[in-house]
Amino acid sequence: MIETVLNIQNLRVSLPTDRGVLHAVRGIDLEIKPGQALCLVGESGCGKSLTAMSIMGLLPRYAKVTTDKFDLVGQDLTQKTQAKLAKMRGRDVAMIFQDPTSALNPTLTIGRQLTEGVMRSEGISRKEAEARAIELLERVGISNPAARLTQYPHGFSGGQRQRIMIASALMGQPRLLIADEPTTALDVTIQAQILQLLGELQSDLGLSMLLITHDLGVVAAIANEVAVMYAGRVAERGPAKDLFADPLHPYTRGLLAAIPVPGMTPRGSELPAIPGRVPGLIGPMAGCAFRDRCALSSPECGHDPVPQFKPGNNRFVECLRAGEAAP
Amino acid sequence: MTDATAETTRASIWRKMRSNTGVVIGGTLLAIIVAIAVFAPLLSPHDPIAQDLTRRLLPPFWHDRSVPEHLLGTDHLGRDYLSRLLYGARVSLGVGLGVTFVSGVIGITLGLLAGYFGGRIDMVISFAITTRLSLPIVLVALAAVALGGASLVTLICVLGLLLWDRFAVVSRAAAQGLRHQEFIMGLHAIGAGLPRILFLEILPNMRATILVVVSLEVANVILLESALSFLGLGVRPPTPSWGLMISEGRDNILFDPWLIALPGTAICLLVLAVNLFGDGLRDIMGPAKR
Amino acid sequence: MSVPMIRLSNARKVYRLRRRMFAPTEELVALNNLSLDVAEGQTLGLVGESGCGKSTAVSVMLGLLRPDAGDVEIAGKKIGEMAVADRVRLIQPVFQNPNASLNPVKRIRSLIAQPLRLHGGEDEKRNVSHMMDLVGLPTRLADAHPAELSGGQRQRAAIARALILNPKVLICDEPTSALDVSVQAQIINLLLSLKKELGLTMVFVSHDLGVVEHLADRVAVMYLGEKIEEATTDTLFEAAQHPYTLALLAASLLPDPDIGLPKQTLGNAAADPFAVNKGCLFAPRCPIVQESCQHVAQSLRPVNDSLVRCDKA
Repeated sequence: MIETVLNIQNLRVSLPTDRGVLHAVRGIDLEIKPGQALCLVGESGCGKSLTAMSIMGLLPRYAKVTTDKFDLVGQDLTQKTQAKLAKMRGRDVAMIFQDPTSALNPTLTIGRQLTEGVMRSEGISRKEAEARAIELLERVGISNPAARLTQYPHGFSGGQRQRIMIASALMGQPRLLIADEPTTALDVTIQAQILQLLGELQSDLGLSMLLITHDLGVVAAIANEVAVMYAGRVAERGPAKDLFADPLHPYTRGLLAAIPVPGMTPRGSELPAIPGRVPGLIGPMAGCAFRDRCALSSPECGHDPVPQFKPGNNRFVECLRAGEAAP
Repeated sequence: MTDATAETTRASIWRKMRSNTGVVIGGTLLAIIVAIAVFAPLLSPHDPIAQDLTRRLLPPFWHDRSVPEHLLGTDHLGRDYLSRLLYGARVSLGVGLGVTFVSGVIGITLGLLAGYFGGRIDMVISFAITTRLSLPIVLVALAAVALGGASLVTLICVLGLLLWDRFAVVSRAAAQGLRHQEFIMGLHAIGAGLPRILFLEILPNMRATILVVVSLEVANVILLESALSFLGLGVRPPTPSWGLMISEGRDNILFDPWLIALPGTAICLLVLAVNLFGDGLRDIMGPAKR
Repeated sequence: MSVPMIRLSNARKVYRLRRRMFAPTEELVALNNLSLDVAEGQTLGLVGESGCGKSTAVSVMLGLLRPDAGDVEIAGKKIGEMAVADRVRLIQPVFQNPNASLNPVKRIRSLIAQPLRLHGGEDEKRNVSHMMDLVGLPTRLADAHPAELSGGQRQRAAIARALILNPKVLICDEPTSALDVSVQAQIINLLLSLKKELGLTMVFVSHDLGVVEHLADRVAVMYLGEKIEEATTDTLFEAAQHPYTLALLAASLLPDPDIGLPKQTLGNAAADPFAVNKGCLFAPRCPIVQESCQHVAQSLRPVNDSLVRCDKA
């Protein structure tokens, strides 16, 4: 039994731009245990999507990616050749995206899009592949799956397309499913159904998941572990229950306070918003990236390295004044 | 402080322009040709249409028979070839810009209307575009010029009425992309009128694209003008035009090849300059400005 | 009760569309006899999922789309009979996507001042800097282009532009859904303080029930062009009646891991605006559907303190 499905240490992603090098991901560690769902949560530009893309090897060639350690399902990927890497990624990891409409080719039948990949990678016959596709479509809640194989994507609603995308991701029997904002483009009632489906797949198939989202509600619904990202670093990490009950990083606290909750937040009251905006990530950066927006910041916050704490129970926080209440 | 942000974007475009080889080479060449066209009367050693039949077909300076008075020699009527070349730049650039202006106004207006309204208006204008594309330009221009009589104004009008299709296609696509943007709905909400929305709000969003089309069209028109003048249906003699000069030199091609080589090189350089400049501009403004 | 600031009475809008090339045209009822009243200084939350007719309702309220039947009245005057210059001084929109709602080639100053330039108003410069102060936008950004601003700043600029003519009504079409959580809170706070300071009447369209609960005095829920429930915010969140409203409430996610996965009782069928149904439009997805729902059209009726379009509620 392997201990981790994914273990990345010190992942860095940088992109050259007109105005200098953009350090989008600045040294993060991720670990996913079998059957666990890790949520990467953060606001736009925090590097969460780039992290997912770098795991899948989907970043453009000009992006510079480095890691100290990159283990996928117990195998060290840093030692493999490009071709091997691509093959392993195709087999062990699958990814679904935000917009199920553009992720499906409108000119090919659902059946072809589902079966073609595994027929090539596993060398199985069309019949076997189709049998698996039918089973999976049924599993993700598409009614009458055998007949649906001959249909084209436009005959399906947004929610159904996302179900098909999930089925398609599961065709290669991956160990890890990466989902980048899988419900953001969907209506709330459909979002609830897709999250339910993902939760079932996790418990029934023992699927591990890396879920990327900006929505703390989605995180609360499905995550076992949460990593809060800010400006390319993990600000805080821990089991979902503990993190929501007792957030330690001022940024996590600010995010949670900024969401109006019916019945909890007094109606019409001023919300405790986080002032200012996310810092630019071009060029070098010293100290805590959040300090300009933080009510607790002090001059020492500008010093490197920012202190890290591990207050037990798998928790981690990177902040000089972690756990202190705002003045 | 307030102007700093605006200055930086302008400054960065300027910086990019200077680091783009195409823009630098094309721009320099183009600037030289424009200067020549503007200052042709000052630069020319002779009157370009003054004939001197005693000094016909003198060769250029690298030839032993050359005369220092006529640096690039004379043509079959004894007119100074350098002066004719310098004045020819006026015709080429003038026709190029004039036709592009006429066709730009027609094409952009039609394209914006088609793209913005869609539906029946789009159908009619798209049909007009298709019809235009099915016309052989040179033949139609020949027929029109033959009917209307060759003159600079006729030429500009005829070509202007024939070459608006690219502008129309491009601006139609741009307007289609923008018409459902929220800012258009916002403009309706503040009561902005249609001309304002089309020409003051949508049009400035397509500056980069239009600029590229302009450069392509100018080059295209310059070649067409030369071709038509060569066929005797463009600029009327004795006005010096590069195409006409090639046509006039045709009879002497075997013994005095410079009569063709010199205006040919001039056309080549101008078209090259325009294309280099336009391509460079597209590289700079295209994706980044979007 | 005095005259409502904005009133939509029995507005109906039907689109005729082809689903595919050469397919016969079909009727899509975007608005079906929608009536809404908002009293002066009040905020109405308009809630629903994609295809429920929210956007059509917004266009109709702004006077940009003429309804096939029914009327829009603002401050007692019919919007269709109003001069454009009067209309723009009464009602203004704020849109969802601040990237798309500001023309990218213009400067912030001229974007904010544009309504003044079109409709006249003295002292443009003083007005613009006053508006920028009001919405919390640093005046040094006046000469910037929209691309140089953050999403939150752009939305502030859009609000300043909407308010520069001193309108009575602000129609907010999902003004926070394209923004990050921390910025969303800033914009909600701004709207709240503007409402208090200027006595604005607002229609707040959103799919986020948490945000609507925080801002609105009354809430109307729409489904496929019909209003299916309307009540005060308290009543709706404490005692929703319509099965669709209940499903929406159950599906909205709160930042609390103890709740776990949302309970979802709706069928897998999606809302199909083309599907013609004699009875209740929600019947194909309804968890408490009965035989009669398929052919008996439902009408709005009062249940406790709510208006509900369901006779099983």
